[in-house]
Amino acid sequence: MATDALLQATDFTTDPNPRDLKALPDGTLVTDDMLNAWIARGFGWTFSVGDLTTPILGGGAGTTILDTDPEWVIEVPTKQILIPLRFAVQLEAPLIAADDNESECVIGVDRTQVGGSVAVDGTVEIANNMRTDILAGCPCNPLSALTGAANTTPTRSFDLVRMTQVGDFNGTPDVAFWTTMELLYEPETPPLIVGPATVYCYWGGTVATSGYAQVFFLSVPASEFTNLS
Amino acid sequence: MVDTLVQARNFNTTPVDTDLRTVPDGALVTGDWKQAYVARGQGWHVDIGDLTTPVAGAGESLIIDIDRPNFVASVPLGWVLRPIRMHVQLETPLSAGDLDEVESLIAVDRKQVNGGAAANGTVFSPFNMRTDIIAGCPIDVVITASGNMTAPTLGMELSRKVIVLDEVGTPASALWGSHDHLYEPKNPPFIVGPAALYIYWGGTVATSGYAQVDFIAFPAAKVTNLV
Repeated sequence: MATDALLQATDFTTDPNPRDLKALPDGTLVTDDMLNAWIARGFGWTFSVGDLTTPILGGGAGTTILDTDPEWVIEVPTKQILIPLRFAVQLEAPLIAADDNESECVIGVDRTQVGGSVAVDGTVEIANNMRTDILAGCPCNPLSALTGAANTTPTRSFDLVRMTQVGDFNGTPDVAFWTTMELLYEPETPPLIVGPATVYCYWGGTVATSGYAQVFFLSVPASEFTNLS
Repeated sequence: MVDTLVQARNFNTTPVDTDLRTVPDGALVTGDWKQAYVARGQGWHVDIGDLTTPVAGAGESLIIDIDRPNFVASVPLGWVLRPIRMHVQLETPLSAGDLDEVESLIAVDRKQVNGGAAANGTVFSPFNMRTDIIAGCPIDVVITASGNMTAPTLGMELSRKVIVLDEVGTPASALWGSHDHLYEPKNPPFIVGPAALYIYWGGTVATSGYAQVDFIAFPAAKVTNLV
């Protein structure tokens, strides 16, 4: 014959307490995912690129993607791990000038170094906590609209996601219809980007491409994961 | 070896021990936290637009205007709002020329409620997502600005969609495609009051639309002491 066991687990308060696990009336155990728990505990961060109705122009000198001129970066310092939650980019597809005109966006990772970018090479972004009552600063460094030879050339270790569109027009250039260009990276199982490292996002094209982004991520102490086997 | 039947406490006013359940192959049945909140009566729904009548973008000059949102949910002190599904559908207008633009934006003022909303828009009573519950929503919702509200500080953008037109030949003859904007994040932010959640739509040409908004609201004390 089975014995009954009432389940409890320890909470995340400063002085942890055991708490009953909960079920719905039909016996369904209610669960939550660890990413959501990190956000509730104040480890989620977000920033946006582009103003209310003003996007930022992408690419090197306003055209094709240039590796030293990303549209936004997040520098992950030593002892921190960045976990991507949701990266959303919306591009304002430009007027086509000729067949094979291209507009694209790519988000990648340099797993070896921080960018070393300084404020003069771009715009320092202030990341807000995803629990809006928390005012402390983000341990990672987001920047946007980077330009200039002073930026460290990244080693693109791997891409997280990419979007591209090629124009194929009917008749006269400047009359074709591109359709919308939106990129959403919201992985079920994100990578753990361990500092020092940098996440880079670029957009641009053979015709000048402007855009916006909304970036959501976790920044957690590296010690939470780095001694696992 | 001892068999152990596992139980958990339920969400009744006086919690009762409830057996956990499996399906025939032994898989433990689990439910996600969003569904549990909705089952407990803490999920809310708002519609903007009538059966076949959309609502115009509220900006005075057609484009998005920060103090004229199409939707504002003011989160009072002591409460948290978490958006679970926000869906905007715009009726893309006739174009007037190349580079015409239509856009929608969902954003947060993390510092204040919108005190000027009710006097400058239509007050909306959210429906509970458990349709037998008729108690009022702790979040104040106003839709369709008719005048200037308190201008928010939109410190946090949640989602955006924009279409730019590249027209064929004569203006007003191009096909924009649909503007269908769905924000249904796996991990939404905790919007802790006082704060407000906004939706805007508009464009360089007059743009009308609809929206359906689902969110969860619960007392802030559940999260504000977590570390």
